[in-house]
Amino acid sequence: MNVSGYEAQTVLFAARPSRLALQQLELEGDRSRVVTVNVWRNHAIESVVTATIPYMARVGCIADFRLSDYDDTLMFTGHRQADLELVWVDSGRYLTSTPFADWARWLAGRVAALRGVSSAPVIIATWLADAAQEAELMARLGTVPGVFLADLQAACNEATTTLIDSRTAALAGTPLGNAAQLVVARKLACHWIPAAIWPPIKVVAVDLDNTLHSGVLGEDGLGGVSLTPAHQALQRFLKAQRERGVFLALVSRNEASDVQALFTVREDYPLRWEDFSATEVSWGDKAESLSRIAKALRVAPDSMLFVDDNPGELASVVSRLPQVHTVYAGSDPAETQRAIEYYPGLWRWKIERDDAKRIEDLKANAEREQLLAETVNPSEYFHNLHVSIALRVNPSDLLGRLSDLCGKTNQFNLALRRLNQAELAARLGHADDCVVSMQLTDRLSDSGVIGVVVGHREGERLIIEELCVSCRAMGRHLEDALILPAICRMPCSAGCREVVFQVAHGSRNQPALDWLARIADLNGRPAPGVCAVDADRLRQFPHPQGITYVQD
Amino acid sequence: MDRQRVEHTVRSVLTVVLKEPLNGADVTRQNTASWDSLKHIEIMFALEDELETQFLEEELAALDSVKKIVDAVLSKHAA
Repeated sequence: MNVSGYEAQTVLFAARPSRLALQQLELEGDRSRVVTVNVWRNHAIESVVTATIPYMARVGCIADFRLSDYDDTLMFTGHRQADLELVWVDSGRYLTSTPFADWARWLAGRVAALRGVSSAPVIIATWLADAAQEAELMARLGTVPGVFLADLQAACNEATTTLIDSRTAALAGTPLGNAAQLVVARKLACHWIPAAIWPPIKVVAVDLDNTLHSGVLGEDGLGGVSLTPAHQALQRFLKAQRERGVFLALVSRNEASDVQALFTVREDYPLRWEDFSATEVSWGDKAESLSRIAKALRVAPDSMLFVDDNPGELASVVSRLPQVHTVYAGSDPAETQRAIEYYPGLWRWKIERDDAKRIEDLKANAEREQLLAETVNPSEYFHNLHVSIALRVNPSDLLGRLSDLCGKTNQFNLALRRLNQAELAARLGHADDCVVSMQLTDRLSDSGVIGVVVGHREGERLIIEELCVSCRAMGRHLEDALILPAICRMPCSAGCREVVFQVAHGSRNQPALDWLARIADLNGRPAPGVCAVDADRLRQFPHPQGITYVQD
Repeated sequence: MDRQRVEHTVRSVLTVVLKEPLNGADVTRQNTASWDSLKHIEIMFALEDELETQFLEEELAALDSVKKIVDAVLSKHAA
């Protein structure tokens, strides 16, 4: 029998998933998204792969795992391009006879060889004895861009599950025990693969009644709604997401004054009113509320996760805003917490310093907008704000952040190339290529690294392959001041006659297209393909005054 | 735990993992083409979960029919 993703949550996000229950799930809905994963291995993964299927299906996806033969030497024979490279190795097969440092050096060399034939993200899934070994291996792998280490032992420790079952090793072809395989399958499908290849969830929008607490505020009153330990844990989990740079929003059908009073009076609530970057408390339509939240937080609907206890409400939102991701808040808050925790795109491999700045930066926008409204002269506005822009040429230490920008930016993204860390790294070593990062600071907040431009010189032409500016820098009248100097400071732009912008039309990149139309003096948006602009026009384009530039 | 209940669980697990109805009363790896070595370990794992039991290493390979599995589970529960 086919079941909806909401009905399947109980099986998928059980504290300890059951292999049989997972195999019995037949999820309804579209599976149009296919992810290809090359698996390079020295032990079996088949019974893990089987368990990933329902997790992938829940988000409309099929993973095509292309399994190599068992190969301790990791030769990557018969390599084909894929969305992801998964190096699935039993470290025990080496470490019984090889010192760890030697193995780590060898493994880093093999991963570098893989990087030579593939620019896809690489996940190394193995297990290590302790944190010191992990640090040593990470230090070795750190020299290869776009590589992530998935520690199976750590995943099992977190789930209080035993990793190795020597009893089943011979028959299964892997030392991973049954329960460990299910833990790893869920991590692989919900955390590791999505975090390596998909854009992240930026906002968790939650309902209040029977989601953050038990009961209905309008009926039970401020003291009548119940905060169970599991609800408390759910609220603490959400608060921790905020500290990781994920916006929280509240979407509730209630009287606004009642809800504000609740968060004031109920000191036992871990979440406070000010933890929500946007609130929509009214008797209105929730899809409209979510649209307003997306606009206020400058994010696209497909980066929002909406959590509600009413399946009808969820269905209504999905029908109006099909890009919004949804989780059903059932009767067990612990299960709801796991359903959120394991929603693909929420977990990240690494929290960049700039991710955590997002929330404070958005708060400062209200003050910026007020200042802009009160100021006639833009230069005075920039001067008052002490706007400072730092441009860095080929910043090898920022590749993680820059690839995040390429992957995440939807609105001001001209070419939509989505260059990953390895592809950016490949451009650092060539005189004809250049990557420039843009960092923005003013007296209200440090916005961090908010833009990237990637150029390539061909004869007298500079090709702009990728141009992204984060939504957090938009609406501040700084696009020209960020982008044009960034292009002009590329060493490979010197003396070029033409700047050729690669242009793609996405569903939401109109701001980038409109910017180029203005810069190139076009009648209407540039067509997909390329758009050439005289280089001197860009060099002489009037820059706003009142901005301080910090040299690299 | 009675034989009928154990056999019902074993047959259910086989049907789900093999994704096909079982033929006849005496279902074995020999007479069931889809019951290959990869499916076998998934069947054993699922049975351990569902029947709350643990097979010995040698049993994992040797239990290659519904009858043998049921007998082994019953003898464990009896012990």
